[in-house]
This record gives sequence, structure tokens and C-alpha cells, in this order.
Amino acid sequence: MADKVICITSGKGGVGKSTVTANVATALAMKGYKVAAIDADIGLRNLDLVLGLENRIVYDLVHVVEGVVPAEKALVKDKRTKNLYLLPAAQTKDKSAVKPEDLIRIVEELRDKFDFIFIDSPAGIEEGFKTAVAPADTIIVIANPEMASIRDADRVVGLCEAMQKPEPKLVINKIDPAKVARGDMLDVDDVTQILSLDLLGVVPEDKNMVAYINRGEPAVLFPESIAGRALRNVAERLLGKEVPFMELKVQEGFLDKLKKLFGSD
Amino acid sequence: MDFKLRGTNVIGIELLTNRENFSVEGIKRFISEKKQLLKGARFLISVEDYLLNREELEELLNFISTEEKITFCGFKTNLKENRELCVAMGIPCDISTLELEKKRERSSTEEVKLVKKTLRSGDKETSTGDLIIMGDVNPGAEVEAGGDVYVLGNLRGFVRAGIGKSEGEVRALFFQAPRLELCGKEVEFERNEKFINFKARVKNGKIKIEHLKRGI
Repeated sequence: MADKVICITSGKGGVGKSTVTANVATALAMKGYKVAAIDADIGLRNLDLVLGLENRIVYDLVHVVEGVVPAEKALVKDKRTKNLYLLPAAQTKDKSAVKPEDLIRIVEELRDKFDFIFIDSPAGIEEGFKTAVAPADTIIVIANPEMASIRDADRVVGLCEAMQKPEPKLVINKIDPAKVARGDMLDVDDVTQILSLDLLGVVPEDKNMVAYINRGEPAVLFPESIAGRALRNVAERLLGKEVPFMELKVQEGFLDKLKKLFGSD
Repeated sequence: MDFKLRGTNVIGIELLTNRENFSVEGIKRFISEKKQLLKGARFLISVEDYLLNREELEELLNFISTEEKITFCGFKTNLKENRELCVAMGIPCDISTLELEKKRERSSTEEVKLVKKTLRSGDKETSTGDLIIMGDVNPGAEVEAGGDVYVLGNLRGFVRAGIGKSEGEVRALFFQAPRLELCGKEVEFERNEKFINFKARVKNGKIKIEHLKRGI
């Protein structure tokens, strides 16, 4: 089996860390693996929202650190996906409430009981990031195909290297084939060339993603979702399977189809 | 006695003395006071036209050798007699005026540094002399060198080369950086401007950019 404890990080905020965490964790749980997702973004929790578990939280990560409850008791069981559990972050505390050794201890407590443990890292490269990365066997860096995100992801990779962690794997999120074709967005090759990391997945921009997040329903639950399909492939690759990358085609609009019909370019 | 200092941590720090203010005790006291500042940098003592004697040199050397964190690289002088004495005692010594006439020739103490990795955003590599990077220099990474810089990969970060020199060059297999500083001269490039087999050179006070192929 592949590595167990997986930290999802990015440096930059808003690139889709929580979305990828929720979806890949759900995809693996759907395959029958027992999965725990830990939200390490203390003070700015939102993994519970993406998973639709926000109204079921009783205890959080800080309660576990303070010894109020054991880690297992603080876990929130997912209502839709059997085998998926969430350890939510505290919303009323800040990043300093959990130290790297605390998270290492909590992960060790859960390690034998789960097939996979995902840690959703906060944005930035400070204390919160270092805490989230500390217990990880594998690190997944999420980058959007834009320079600011790539530069931050690159910085995170350098920091992981300095922390003597294994080389992170890369997921490129929110790629828009139409913008790439127009030259308005970097393509997959541009990103992988700069970051020189193993590519774990390419997730296309999905116009329904905001709706899925707002409804608290991970995209992997919907077979028609293109991003959901790409995220299920990420889960497969984490299991060590060789899954070909999806061919990202520009979706033709009505006008494009009409032009084609009349033979003009 | 207060002496002046010249230079940077990268190209080295020079303590400036002359016939009027040279004093072994003064220099010793000054070094003790500025120990933290001199830590890790190449350190030179310039004596200009003051005629050194063997006892003074030995006393200074003995003192500096007790300061572990100081990398002493020798003396600078205008007098041939000082240079001959230093050479006889096995101490590096440059003739300042001649050196200036020769457009700041390379000092023999400059290093040539080889970095075998990709510099990622936030990484910084420095060298007192030439710097060879066998990997990429990514956006957000910085390179500073007293000598030339050679990147055997893609140069997308910031390079400052030839610091304190009048001649130097930067070469990269691929170049896509927004700017570059060579021998104090700055060049800016268009966003997304790419070069293959890139070479920037400063000679006779002019900067020249050469490349095999250019593209946007």
C-alpha cells in the first residue's frame, strides 16, 4: 500500500487544497478504504463545509490537543460516505494552538485505525504549514496554472526539502483548456517544467464546483463532473495504479459548432 | 582608533588603513569590536603606502589566527616592499594601484562554487567568485556572485553577478527572467521573453546580450 499520511499543501491560498482533500479522501473512502481527513487550518476551518459536515461538529482538533477528548472521539463520521471521518479544526483558536509534535501524536494515535489520513494544510509557510507537514509520509502540492501559485508552490517544495521530507507530488488544479489554447493560461508542461515534480493529477476548471462546495457535496460523488473524474484519478494514482491523464479538450460553443458546419475556421 | 571598512559580505570586506593611521594595536582592537560584522566574509587589510615590518605582520597574523570566524585573505598595498615581505612570509598580498590599473583583476582567494540542484523560490546562493548552477533557478530564487554566473538549466530567477567588477558574464542554457544585474548594470526583459543559449557580457563598460534563439 502507498504511504498513509498525506498532507495537502500549496503555499498560496484559494488554490483548492480543501477541495482536493475532501474529494480525494471521499474517493478513497468510496473505494472501501477507511479514511480520516484532518483540517489543520486552525482558525479558518472549511473542510467541514466542503464535506457537508459543518452542523455535526462537537469536538475539534484543539480539544484533542488539550486532552479534552481522545482523537477518535472527536472524529465526525461522514453521513454519505461510509469509512470517511473528519477531524475538524477549531474556529475560535489560532495556528499556535497546535504544535507539530501535537499533530504527530494525534496522527500516531489514528495511524493504525485508518488506511489513509489526509491533512489539509493552511495557506502560508509559517507555523501552521510546518505543523501540517510534520507527520506526513507524502506531501501533495496543489498549484494553479498561474505564476503566483507556482512561485508559492515552489517555495513550499524548497521548505519540504529543507525539512527532509520526501519530494512532494503535484496536482495542477483549475486548469482551463480554453484559456490554455488562447495562450492566456500556462499549460501543464509549463507548470511541471518549473516545479519539476511528479505529476499526480490535472484537475480541470469545473463550473459546477462552486455549487458542489456550497452544497457540501464533493464533486467525486457526481459521475458527470469532469473535475470529479480527475480527482477520482488522483485517488487511483495514490493507490499506485497507472491511470492515463485525461485529455483536456476545449469545449466548443454554439458559434464554434456553427462555424465548423459551414466550413470556416 | 576607528578605521573605515569597504566591500560586502559577498565580495569581501577590506579594512582601510594608511601611513597616518596604521597601528597594530588599533587594528587588533577594531577587529575585536567588529568581529560579528566580519564573520564569514573574506577579510583583507589595506595598508596603502605604510611600510610594514616583519614584527608587525607576525603580530597581526598571530592575532587574526586566534579569531576563528574571520577568513583572512591577506593584505593590499601600494608598496612593492610590502608585497615582497608578505610573499616571503607566505601571506597573500595584492598591489592596489597596479590592480586598479588592471581593471580589478581577479583575486586569487575568490572561490568557484558549484551548486548541483535547482534553486527554488526563496533559495539564495552566493559566491565570492564564479558560481555554476547545475539545475534551474526558479522564479523567486536569487543568485549573487562576485564573479560570473553559469546556469546549466533554466534561469527564471534573479541574478546579480560581477559585483564590484568591471567585466563579467552570465550564461544560461534557457533564460526567462524579468531582470538581471551584471557589473552594476541592470537589464530588464519583457514578460515571457525567452532566450535559448543566453549570454550577457559586460566589456569596456557596455553590456551585450547574445542568444541563439529568442521567443515570446
